[in-house]
Amino acid sequence: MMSSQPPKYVQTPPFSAFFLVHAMQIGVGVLGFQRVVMEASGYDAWMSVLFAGVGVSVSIWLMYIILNTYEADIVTIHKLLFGSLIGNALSLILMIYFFVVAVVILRTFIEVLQVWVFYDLQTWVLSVLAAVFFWFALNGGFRLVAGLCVFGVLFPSGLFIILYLPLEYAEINNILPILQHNFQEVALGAKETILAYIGPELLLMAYPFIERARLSHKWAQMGHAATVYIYFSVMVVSLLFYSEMQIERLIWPTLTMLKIVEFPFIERFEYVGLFLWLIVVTPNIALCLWASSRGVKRIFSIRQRTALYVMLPIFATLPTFFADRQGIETFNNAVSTFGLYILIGYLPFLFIIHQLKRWLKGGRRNETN
Amino acid sequence: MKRTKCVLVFLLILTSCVHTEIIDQIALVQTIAVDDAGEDGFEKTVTFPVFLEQGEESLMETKALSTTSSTLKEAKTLLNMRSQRPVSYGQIRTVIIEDDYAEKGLEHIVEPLYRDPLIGYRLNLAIFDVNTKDVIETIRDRDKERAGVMISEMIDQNQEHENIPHTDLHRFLFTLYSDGRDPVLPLMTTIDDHPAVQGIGVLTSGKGKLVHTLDLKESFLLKLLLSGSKEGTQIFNIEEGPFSGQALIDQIDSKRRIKVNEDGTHYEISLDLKGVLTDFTGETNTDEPKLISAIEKTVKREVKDDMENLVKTLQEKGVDPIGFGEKYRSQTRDWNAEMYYDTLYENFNFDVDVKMQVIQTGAIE
Repeated sequence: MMSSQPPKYVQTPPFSAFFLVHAMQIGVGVLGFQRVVMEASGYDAWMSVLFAGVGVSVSIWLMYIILNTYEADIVTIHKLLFGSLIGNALSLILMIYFFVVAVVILRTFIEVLQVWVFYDLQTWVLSVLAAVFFWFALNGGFRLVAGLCVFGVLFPSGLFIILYLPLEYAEINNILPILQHNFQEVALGAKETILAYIGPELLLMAYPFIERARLSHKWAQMGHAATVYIYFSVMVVSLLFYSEMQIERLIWPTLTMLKIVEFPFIERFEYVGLFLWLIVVTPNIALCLWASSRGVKRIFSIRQRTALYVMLPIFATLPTFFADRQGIETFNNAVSTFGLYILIGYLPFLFIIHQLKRWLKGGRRNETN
Repeated sequence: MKRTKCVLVFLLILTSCVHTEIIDQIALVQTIAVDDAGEDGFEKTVTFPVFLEQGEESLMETKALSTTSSTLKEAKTLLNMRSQRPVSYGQIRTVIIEDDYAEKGLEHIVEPLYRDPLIGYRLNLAIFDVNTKDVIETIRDRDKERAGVMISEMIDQNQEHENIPHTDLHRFLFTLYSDGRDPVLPLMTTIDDHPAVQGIGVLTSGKGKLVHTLDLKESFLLKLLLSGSKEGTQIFNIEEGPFSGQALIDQIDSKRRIKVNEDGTHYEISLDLKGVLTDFTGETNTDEPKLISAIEKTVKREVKDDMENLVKTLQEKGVDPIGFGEKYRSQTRDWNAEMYYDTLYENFNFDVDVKMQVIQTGAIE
């Protein structure tokens, strides 16, 4: 069971789970998650954000119960639970999902750049550049990727103070009276919010790389709590800032909101925010690529570098196939819906299978006694 | 070493991969003026600074170009056809609109501004009751390099220190797309060829049609109700017992509260004003406590009367720049904007309660 345990010197301390989870969750989603949530629960959207936060927290808890029992990554767990063939097939689907998430994040970020700053920027220019960058980053191994996460969380954290500045225009009447929507609508909004929360499932691959990984559970939960806090504040600020029909028209409400921030030395702050966002999305993509290449390595027993030789060229070309808003939107929705079902569907399912199997085993042992 | 080389190669290859805009090689539009052009849509005039290439280095001039079109973005293309340098919208400070065009609705003017990520949210919009192209051309000839930002700074200054409520692109969009409040914009005119603020224009939500105008006094009251004012000036005629004369109250600081009952039929408006007496034309010494209380009494009465008149007029006109609808929406569970404005808005009762305190009389007594 411990066959795939990586050597001690590539492991990271337990608290790195905080940065892994948080860095993975905060990504391009923050720029525009408000609209979809509000479509469901309107001005009660902030409650949806909190509910979804609790849901994902339970998911993380279930994930840790499974991981703590086997002390291995998902590839091993799949094999043990479902046998070699089905197990590997399931793992492969998961790895393809991680890989596609990396592509989605990259494509979405390039789209934002194309709309806001470089309207004549070719998609391939940035995607090829990114592929080269991630080649170097991933060659540094897990520790470097984790380092990117720490950097990607700490460095832009100053930006979140900026997100409060639009409160200058706050209209408290917007969110009153609370609970205008029924429970069903709020729950539907919560489902939409989970799309923005996806990310903790990366721990399924990263777990063996964390030292004394059992201890990392509380750090993972704290990372998630920090995410909930940020999403919640961004949501509340947006609700107070925009009127309902105004926000419905925006693709990236968070970014547009930063238009109001003005300093004597820099007139339009959203451009700074946009480029700081590059630092936020970089660890996102790096983690996804790392996890999927690591998974491919484990499934096919090849070197991780060999896997990257194949994956990075695909990573660089795929974004160019999504040329327009509709395409990117559909792609985004499909991938995040899949992620949603992994987080709130597949993980609990895995948990049940795991418990069943343990119970069966336990039962048999009792008989032999 | 290999990596360093690689990085260097990329640095060289990737410079100027994308379109660049160099400040003295583009026409950086500062003001857009929109005039009604009948069936052709509107006539759009833009001003941008021009850096003189020869002669004195610091010399700058403002140029104006105009074209007629029915969409703002098409107008940009048409302007480019006449411009020496490409027109760029990144630094727009003001959009001024002729009232004739504003009556047709501003929706098609602000939509493209909203869509364009280059355009800031703090840009000022204003309505002129004269031809805006003329306004622009006059100030261009007179103010040279400052012409582009002049109107914008004027509006800012008036909103900050005087009697115009805060308006900018974000606030305009907020109210334009709100179902409980109508947008307002500064209304301007020209006095001796010089632009001047003369009040407030009230527009409809959604289409943004100019439907009603308020003078400076009403605009001040609106400001008190909308955001509360920090600075503001009003003059009052005092005719109270032995005292008579004109009193100028400055730096009016206000707190306001609007309450609505459960079914939206009754509103309570309370205002708490504090001000500094800066000028009194009467004979009496301002030290006299009776005078101060007389002034306070008059101010209370006048503000109350004016406020009642203002709200009544707004009710009659069916426009809601104060946001009574919004207030009611925040307290009811069955909000229906159409129903509210069709039946409730015109008929609700209200009470106005004004408190006034003169806190200073300046450096002399």
